Amino acid sequence: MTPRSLTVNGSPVPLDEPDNRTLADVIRNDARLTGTHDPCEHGVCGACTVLMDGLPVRSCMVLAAQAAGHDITTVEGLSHLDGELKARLDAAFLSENAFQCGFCTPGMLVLAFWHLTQQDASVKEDGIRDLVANNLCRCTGYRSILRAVAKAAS
Amino acid sequence: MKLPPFVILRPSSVEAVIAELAAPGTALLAGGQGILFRLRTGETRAGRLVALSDVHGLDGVTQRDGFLEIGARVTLRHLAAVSAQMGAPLLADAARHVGNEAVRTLATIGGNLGHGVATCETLLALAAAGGRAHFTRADGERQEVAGDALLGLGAQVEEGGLVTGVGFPCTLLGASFAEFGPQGMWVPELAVAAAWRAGGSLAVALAVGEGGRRLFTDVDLHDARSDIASRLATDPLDTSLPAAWIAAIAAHHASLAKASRREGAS
Repeated sequence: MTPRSLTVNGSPVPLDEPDNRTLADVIRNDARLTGTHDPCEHGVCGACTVLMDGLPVRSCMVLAAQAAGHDITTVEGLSHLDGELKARLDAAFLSENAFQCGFCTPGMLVLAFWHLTQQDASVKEDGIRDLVANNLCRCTGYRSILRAVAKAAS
Repeated sequence: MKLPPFVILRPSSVEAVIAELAAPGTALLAGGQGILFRLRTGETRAGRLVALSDVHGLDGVTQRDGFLEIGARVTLRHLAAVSAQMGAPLLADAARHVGNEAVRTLATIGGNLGHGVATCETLLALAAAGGRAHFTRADGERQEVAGDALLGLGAQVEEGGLVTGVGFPCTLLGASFAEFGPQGMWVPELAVAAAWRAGGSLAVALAVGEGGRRLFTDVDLHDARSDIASRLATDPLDTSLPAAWIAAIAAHHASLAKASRREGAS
C-alpha cells in the first residue's frame, strides 16, 4: 500500500488527488514552501532541485505519488541538516554576488549543499563546474557561482 | 507546461503490468525522468500510467555465472556506485554519463534502455560488452535481447513490452566509455563504448548523430583500426586498448557527425 503522505523538512504533508500532481506542486502549494522555484516545469533548469532521502531530484520531474513515504528537504530545510555548511554557502553566495535575479539560487544552493556533504566531493574547479552545469543560470555567467561554491568548500 | 491528467496503476507482477499495458493510452512509469518529459511535451499521450513500484524482483544487483544481473528498476545512481565494485566498471561509467545528478537519482536502467535510442548510454555499454536485456514481450513471451537488436527495444516497449532486467558481463579485460559533442547538448553528438572481451575480441559500439538512431558494432574506421592494429601487434593483452579505440574514434568525431547529419538530411 502506497503511503498517502510525505515529509517535508521534518513535517508530514498529506497527499491528495489527482495523480498528476508533482512534488513541486505539493511543496509550493500544500507545504507553502515557495523557496523551491518551478520555472521550466520540465526538468531542464534545475531551479526546483530538492533532496529526496538526501539525494538531489528535480521536484518538477517527480510525481507526488512517487515521493510518498519519502523525506524531502527543500532549500528552507538545509540549515536543519547542517546549519554551519548552509551558513557558509549563504555567506559565500552573498560575498561572491553569485546571483542576480535569484531564480536559480535555491536549486544551486541545494545542489551545492548536497555536493559538499559527499565524502568524495571535488572542491576543485573542474568538479564544481560539472556540478553547476546541472542547473541553468541566465544572469551570472556561472563564474561567481563557481567561486562561491569553492569558497564555501574551503 | 503542466502535466495532462492521468491515473496511476500499481500492479504487483510483470504479468499484470503486461496486461495493463495492453489497454490503449497506457504508458510505463519507472523513475519517471523520461515519461514525465514526454507527457508534458505531448510526445506521449497517456491517460493511464502503469507504475513498476510494487513489482517485486526488479531492484536487485547480483553476480551470477560471470554476469551482473540487474533489475530494471535499479537507478542509474545506484548502478554507477555499485557496478564498478562488482566487476562492471564500463556500466558504471556509462551510467555516470546519463543526464545529470538529479536525473540519475530516479532514472532507471530499464527506462534508459526502453528509450531504444542508440545514444542511451547503458545500451551502448551493453552492446559493446556483449550483454543482454531481459525482455517480456506484449504477448507475454520472455526474450533475451543482445547486440544490434537492443536498438529495437524502444519500439517493443511502445508496443506494450517490458524490460525486466539486464545481464552485464563482468569478465571484460578492459573497457572505456566516452561522449563527444558541443557542451550543453542534451543528447551527445557521438557516444562510444569499447570493450576488450575475454577471449580476445575488441568490440566497439558507436552511436552518431542527434538522437543516436544508429548503432554500429565492430566499427570499421580505417585509420583508427590501423592505429589499434599496430598497438595490438605490440601487446595483444593491452587492457588500455578500449581507451585507445575511443581516442582514435574521437579524432574522427567531426567527420562522423558531419556524415551523420548529411545522411539525416537526405
